[in-house]
Amino acid sequence: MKKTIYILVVLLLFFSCTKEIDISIPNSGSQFVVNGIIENGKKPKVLLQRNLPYFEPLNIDFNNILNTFSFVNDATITITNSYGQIDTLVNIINLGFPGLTDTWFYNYEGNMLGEEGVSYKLEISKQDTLVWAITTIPKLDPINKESLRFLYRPDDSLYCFMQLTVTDPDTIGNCYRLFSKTKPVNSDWAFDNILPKDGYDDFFISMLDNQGNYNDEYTNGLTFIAPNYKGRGFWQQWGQQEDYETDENDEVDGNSGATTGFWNVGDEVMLKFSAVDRGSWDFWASLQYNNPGGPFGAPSQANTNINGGLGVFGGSSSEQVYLIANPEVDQKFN
Amino acid sequence: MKKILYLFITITSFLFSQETITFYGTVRSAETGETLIGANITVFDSQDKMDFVTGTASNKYGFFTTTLKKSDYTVQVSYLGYQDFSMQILFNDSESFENINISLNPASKTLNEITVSDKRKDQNIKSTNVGKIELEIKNIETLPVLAGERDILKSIQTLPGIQSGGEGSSGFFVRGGSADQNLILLDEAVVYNASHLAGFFSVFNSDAIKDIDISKGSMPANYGGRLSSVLDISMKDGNAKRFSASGGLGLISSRLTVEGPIKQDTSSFIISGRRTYIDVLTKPYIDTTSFAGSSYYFYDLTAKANYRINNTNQIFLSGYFGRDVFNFNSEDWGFSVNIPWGNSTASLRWKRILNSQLFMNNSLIFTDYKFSLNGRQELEDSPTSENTLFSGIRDWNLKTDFTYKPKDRTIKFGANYVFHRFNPTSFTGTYDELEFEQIMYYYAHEYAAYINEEYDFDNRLSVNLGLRYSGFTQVGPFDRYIKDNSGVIGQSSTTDTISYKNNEIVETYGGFEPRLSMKYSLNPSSSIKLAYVHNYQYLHLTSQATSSLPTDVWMPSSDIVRPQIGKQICLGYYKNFNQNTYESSVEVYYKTMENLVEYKEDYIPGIAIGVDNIDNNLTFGNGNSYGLELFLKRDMSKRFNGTIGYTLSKTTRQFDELNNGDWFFAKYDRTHDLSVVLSYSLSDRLLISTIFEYKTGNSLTIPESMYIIDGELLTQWGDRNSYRMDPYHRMDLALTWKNKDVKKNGDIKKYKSEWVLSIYNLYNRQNPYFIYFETEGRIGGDDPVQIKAQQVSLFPIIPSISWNFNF
Repeated sequence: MKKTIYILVVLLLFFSCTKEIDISIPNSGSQFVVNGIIENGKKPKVLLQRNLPYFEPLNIDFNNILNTFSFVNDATITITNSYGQIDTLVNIINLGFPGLTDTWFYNYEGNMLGEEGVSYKLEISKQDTLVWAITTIPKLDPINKESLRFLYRPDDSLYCFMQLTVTDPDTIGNCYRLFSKTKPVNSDWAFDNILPKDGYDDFFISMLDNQGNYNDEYTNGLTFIAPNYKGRGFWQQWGQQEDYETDENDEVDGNSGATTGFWNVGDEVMLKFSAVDRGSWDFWASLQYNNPGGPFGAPSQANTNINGGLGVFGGSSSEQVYLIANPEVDQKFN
Repeated sequence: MKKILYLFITITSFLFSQETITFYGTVRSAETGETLIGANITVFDSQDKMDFVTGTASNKYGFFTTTLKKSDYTVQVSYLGYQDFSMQILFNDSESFENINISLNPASKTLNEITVSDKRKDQNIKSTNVGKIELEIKNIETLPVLAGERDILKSIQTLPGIQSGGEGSSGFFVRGGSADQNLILLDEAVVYNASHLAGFFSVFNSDAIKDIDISKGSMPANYGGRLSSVLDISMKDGNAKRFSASGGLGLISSRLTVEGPIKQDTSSFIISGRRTYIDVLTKPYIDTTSFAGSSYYFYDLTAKANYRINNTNQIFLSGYFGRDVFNFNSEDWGFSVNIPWGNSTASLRWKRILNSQLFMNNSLIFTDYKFSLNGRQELEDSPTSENTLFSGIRDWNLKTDFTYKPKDRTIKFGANYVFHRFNPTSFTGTYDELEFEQIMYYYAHEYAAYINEEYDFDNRLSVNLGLRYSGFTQVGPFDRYIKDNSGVIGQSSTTDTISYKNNEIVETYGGFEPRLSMKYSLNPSSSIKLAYVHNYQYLHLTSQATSSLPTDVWMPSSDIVRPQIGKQICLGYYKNFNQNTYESSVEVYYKTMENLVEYKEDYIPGIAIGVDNIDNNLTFGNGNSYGLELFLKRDMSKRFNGTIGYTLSKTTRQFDELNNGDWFFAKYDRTHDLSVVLSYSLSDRLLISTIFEYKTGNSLTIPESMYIIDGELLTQWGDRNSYRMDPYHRMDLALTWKNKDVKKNGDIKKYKSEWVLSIYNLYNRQNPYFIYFETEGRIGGDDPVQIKAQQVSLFPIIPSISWNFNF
């Protein structure tokens, strides 16, 4: 090895190149898309729509939502509970505006109040089409409110995340979803377009990474502390992983850039903790694999518990807690 | 059994010894002492006008044997790149034909070293092999490459019937088979994941490789366990004459090989290493971000030593160790991940020449493939969580193989036993004061015995008949979770658990695998061949991704997963022109595959590791493939040489639970696949070579519609693999400039080096790598939401220079 080894300079134009292409998708018969919920102590709510052409632009005007989506308003929808009682849902769109659930809109509403431990069968018919789904409202054990606290983001006193101690009941199969709705310290940062303009975001956000879901496959009967982040609303972009270099002049609002997912210290927070049934949980848990968008993932349909259609009909039992996102204050629960 | 075998051998030896002599020995390079595989041994009758008597070739250990009538003969031994060697056989002098060591001197012309040393020139028409191709590493060294990285797997993708996974992919798909249906052997050890960097580079360092064989059609009975192909890679033994070193500096990695005698002519070693420096080059940039500490690199190390105990016994110890390592660090989230994965193999082999007609090879082989993901989350005042997600496969393999070669026939027989330990996916972790351990292993015994006979009826008809019996037994400890009909993944749908104790049999599969190939010579320059292969495959690679990833996991056949079964028939016509200057062939094949595995459509990964059996989420189906392959090759020893391969094929799959039960195209179905490889020596020092490839685009699943739930835009996907990407085509060019040889000690060349200029994708074709669907605008944003299809092309024109040396 006496000879000198010459280091070589090599040209590498290591760009990958992206171009837009046209793909024509054959027309297929549109399906019923169901977005239904029945919560303990609340009336059942269903948004019935059809799936949409994939490449058509979608103009969403929150003040004129009726003309945005392919709502179906002339179907017959009934819910039968495990006592055999039948509730026929009423289309509410003739009131001029769809109703709001905690997370989205609905166009059908019933009168039967949800009850823990009871199963519900949803049936939707229109001409020759019949779709149906079954869900159960599970029992929710009270959450440990006293354990709720906020912690600062590392090396930071402007942003914080939440910590909760969870005790899972010693029966396998408990499934949860966790949501939050925020009234930011600066009202300009809220997504507050729809009445009542109360300073809070219009919709609850699924917290955690996994679409706000977890179940007790690994934690059955255990008590553990879980850090929780604000999550990402559909109106926000995940900026966290894209912002390699943070510009000092970037707007810092907890909704974009490196601060997405954290609360600003001082935000008011409504936390919603829901026990959900497994059929609807599978739908939410499968969404993260629905559109992988890269070479390393395979296309995967979202699961559904709707027989003959798409979407989800979920029973849930929920509890809400009001909090102030500040590590320095003691929470007052109401 | 052993006594019967010896008796059989003794009797047949005695019978033949009445009127015959057996000429046998080993062919080696005089320069390095390496055994030469496929050297051509031709025997002429000294007493009868030097008429051709017979010909044979050395096997993968350099060993040859041929039985002759008692007479005097002249033998010519040739191997391209080496000077021909002649010797006499005198029937009354046993030293002239028993256990002869033949050493061939390298040819003096440099030209011969840079061109390819091919096998026996008419081997393609004379052998019974259908769809078997032998490559020499020198063949590969002068081909254009991406970023200066030589890659043996990319080279075999230029052969007909072997499809590449796509741009930058080392994965290959043989005659419609899946990636897991290729048996990849490195010195007899199975390599379970043959690529670095998610498929961009193969794990094999070409400096340490001596020889490559690929069988895609008539897999002989000594191979088994995979449906589609065998890629058998032999490592160099190491220079037994003197110390030498070779290596190269490339764009993204460098490599160095050192070899030499431990004891002159008796034992030698070779050590070869390679490492990327992507991490070193990108570190200064990454360290300025909040992702400081993130990096990626790979390395591999290959080593081998051999000891020649005497003329009849030799032992070999070889090993491979390679790792890819990815580190990710996010200060903001107090989160770090370390992901190492890779193969380790070790082979201990003992080869013995039992007598003039019987050759034995015994091996003890260890193989391990491991993937792990170590995550750590540490935030101030918050509980620290640490967890490891890991998967892998570990084998202990014992093998014995015999080659018995009486006159006119070659009989191979042997047996093989493997103890497998599979870890499809497990995890351990600590979370604050909680400890988790969800580990699930599958244990299995795999065993096989085979006999294979190749018989020449006359000079025209040869038959290669093989029978292999293989079996697979899954054993405990093992828990099988019995599920209800809900389709729910995890404990809540488990109705019962069957627990198996240590070594208790869970399930056994097995069967005979008949193999047949026949050759009929129409005339000295052409032949037709027919082959039938029946295979069992007890291992399955399950993947959630469309490209091969280190997270793909190997699953065994089990009480609910049946072995894959492959049947293939192929027919070929072979014709050589101009004294074997041109070889050509036409092959057609039809292949069926049963019990292929895929995940069920509603499978959600990661939600029940260790608490449910992962194979409860699999669904099973069948595959078909048929095609026509054309091949033309000009003699590699000519100044102008090359190959043209074309495949016309169709590959489909059917699973009752996928795609509504309808047949669909396999992802790598290619209607057309053309590869042209040309090489021209402009002078003794300058060589130009080019590759052109054209392939039908990959099939792809595309969306059918969208819908919105709680503000999230969801995709309803259309029929599986119903869309075709644009065709793939590309031309590469390489220029190899050999520096003047530096001579020392008279005319012995001590130091050689060369520059290789490669231009990848010469005409800058933007080939589709993948298509993704990008959403512009957001629900709740000011602009309309619009989804657009985006096609990503990976590599534009990429020139690169590398420098290789050896001394």
